[in-house]
Amino acid sequence: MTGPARPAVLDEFRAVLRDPAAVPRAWKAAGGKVAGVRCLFAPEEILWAAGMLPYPLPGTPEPVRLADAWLQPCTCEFVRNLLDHALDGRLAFLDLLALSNTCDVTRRLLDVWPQCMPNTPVHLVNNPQKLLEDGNREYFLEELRRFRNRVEAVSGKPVAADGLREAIKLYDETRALMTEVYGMRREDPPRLSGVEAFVTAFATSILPKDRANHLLRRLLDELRAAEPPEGFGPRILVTGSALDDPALLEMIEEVGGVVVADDLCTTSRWFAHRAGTDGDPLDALWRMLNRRTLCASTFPTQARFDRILAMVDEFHADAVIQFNLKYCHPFLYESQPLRKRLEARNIPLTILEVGHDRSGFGQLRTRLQAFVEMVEPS
Amino acid sequence: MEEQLEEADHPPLPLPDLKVVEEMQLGIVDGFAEVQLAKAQGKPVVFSSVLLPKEIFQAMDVPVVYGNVLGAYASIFGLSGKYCGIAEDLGTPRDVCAVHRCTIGVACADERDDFFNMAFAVPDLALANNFPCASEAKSFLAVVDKYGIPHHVVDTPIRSWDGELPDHAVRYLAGQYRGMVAFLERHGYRMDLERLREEIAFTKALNTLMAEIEICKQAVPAPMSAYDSVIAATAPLVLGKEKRTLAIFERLRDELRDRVRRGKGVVENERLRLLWIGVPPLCDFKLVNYSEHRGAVVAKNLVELLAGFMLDPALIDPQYPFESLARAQLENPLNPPGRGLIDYFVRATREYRIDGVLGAVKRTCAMLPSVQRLTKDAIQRATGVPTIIFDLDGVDAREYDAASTHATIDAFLDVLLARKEKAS
Ligand code: SF4
Ligand code: SF4
Repeated sequence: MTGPARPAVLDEFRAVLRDPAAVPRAWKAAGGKVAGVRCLFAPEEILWAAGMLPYPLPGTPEPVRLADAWLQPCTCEFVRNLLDHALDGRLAFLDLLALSNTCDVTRRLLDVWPQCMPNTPVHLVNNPQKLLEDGNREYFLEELRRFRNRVEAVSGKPVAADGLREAIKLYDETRALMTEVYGMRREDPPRLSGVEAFVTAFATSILPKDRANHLLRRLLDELRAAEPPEGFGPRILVTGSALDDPALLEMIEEVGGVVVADDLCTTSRWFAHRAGTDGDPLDALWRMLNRRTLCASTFPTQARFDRILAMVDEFHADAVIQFNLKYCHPFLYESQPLRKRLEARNIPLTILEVGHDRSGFGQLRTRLQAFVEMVEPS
Repeated sequence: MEEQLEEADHPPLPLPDLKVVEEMQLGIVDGFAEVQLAKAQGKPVVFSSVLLPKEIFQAMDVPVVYGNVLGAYASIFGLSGKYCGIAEDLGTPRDVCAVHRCTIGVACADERDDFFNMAFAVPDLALANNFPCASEAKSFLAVVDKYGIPHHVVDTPIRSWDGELPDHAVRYLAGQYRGMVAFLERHGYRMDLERLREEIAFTKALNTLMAEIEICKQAVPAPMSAYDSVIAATAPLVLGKEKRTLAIFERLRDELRDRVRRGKGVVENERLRLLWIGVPPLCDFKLVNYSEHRGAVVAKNLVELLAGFMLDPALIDPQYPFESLARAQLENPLNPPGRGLIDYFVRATREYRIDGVLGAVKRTCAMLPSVQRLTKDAIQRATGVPTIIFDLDGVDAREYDAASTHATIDAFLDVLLARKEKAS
């Protein structure tokens, strides 16, 4: 993005992503406990209420070295990369791994993880995959209670209703602030670039939320005061598999696209809904999670497509880029139906299959350039 | 079937070894034709996963096209390249499950080969199920879009809990099955609960027979060829739930018992017994019998689980039909995570007196490749039996290489034979 100076606070978010694990390591050094989280259905609020730092495990763009001994190379490279981190000791600070019932490989970590990190307990929140249904309430609430019990056992701290309500309040504030930051991308030109938005959302997901909220408030103030940047190309929405590396967004923006919206696990999916503090806090979490039809492992799939189309409208996107990590089956299956729905609205789509270790990135630039040049800005 | 194979320029299917299995094979072909009849009578046809409770369809007289079974047959008939290609041309990525690419290709093709003209009918409704993998619930989107039909997803929780199955999970899945019934009722079908109880009682009787057949198969020498086992395991899908079907399986059990009594095995001089723990080689079914030329029999195969007829009869109580189906499905060894499957294979290694395990890795399977190393270790720890893990896409013929697969199996057999010789 060219133009006036960018908000200084963005450097603090960038610093987090240079070494995300420094955040949990510091927490640990201060005597706290840390839970690795993967993915969206193990509510972080419960961990926070128990005094634990939830750490949504990020990967690193490097070739898989050790995990292939446990998971065949034809399984998701992101998960194999995380397993590498477990195997080479980079996650030794974890006191718990909190999983959810999402894709095939994530579920398999319930088997594989104990072999790789036998001293770190694993708990899987067996969330229903079929959401937007009142009928799953009894089942899902019981799963949330079981998760709470496990967290209490690991943390050694009871999770009382008031404490959980406080945690929800804190997280809701983060989600509201993030929504406000993202709202600034509706503007034309947007007040922050796609890469800046990604860095902010991803770093916020990793930081303790009280600290993140403070930084987000500063960011909002700085953005409001800043001159809008200049010089824009077509407005792009990015969707797809787990993206924990800004390189792809950087490339899109380098070839002239402006990423104005993203539908990703590391960004808008985690802050899309708020729980509220009315009534029983577990019930509030259920109500929120039951609306998270944002992951390709949840149903009804049409709700995901509706959200993408709504985001296209809300952020005035001219085109969509879907990127799929190799062997990410849930998202791969959505390529064809998503194309059909976007074509019906004359919204151009390109689908990229990429390696988590950035393999194949070289050829992407030319493809992205051709795509961006082809899209007519509205 | 044979004509289809000639057209497809495909290695011929093996011939069944047992007479009764040959009869089943013919019955399967007839069974497929019934869906066309129902369509002609104006009944709404349902496109479904084979891993949803067939008892519900039977009790409601619903004609079903089992998409994934037709996908498997496309591969068996040597047509996987063609139908995967159709799916890929429609935008299905080549890295997703080859069985499901075949399924999408068959379901969405503008023109189909003869067998599919008979076995496939344009669906009016679709039902999907996320058991045991994402492909089961995602591939049907292409079919729903193609025909613009109402659809419904059944959500099966994985078996993540230690110890006893918790009640909330059984209640939830039973509720999901009731939801499936409600969906079918909204589209003109009626559930007769008495009939459902009968169907479930039938499953219990059939599965009890299946369990007896499995006990025969544990005998040394192995009385049943790998190919015959595959046919027998999949036959109940299309053979009606009738007394006649039970009678066929009783005959199979009796023939096997007789063979066991006479000490007759499928090979003259049985030297090794193998367990197959990957997706079976559909595009070259002869491969499951391949090792027999060296006196090695595949005594047990994963496909018997995939077909879904191994639900534990002890968990089925016809008085509580939905809860029974839910309990049996949740406890199905295929239900992730892998420990159910691993325990099942460790038990099978012992019970079938296995000498070596063939762990075929299908590149495009999202589920099994992530459990094979753990299975190998568990079998080794518990029994000392070695496993070979090797790449084999036996579904998409374009990715299948018979010569290198034979070489891999032969090399493993050499190791096993040397091992056996040393031990004796
Ligand atoms: S990228 Fe895809 S396969 Fe990998 S963990 Fe995420 S959803 Fe699962
Ligand atoms: S278990 Fe594997 S082979 Fe079977 S349907 Fe699922 S992805 Fe395909």
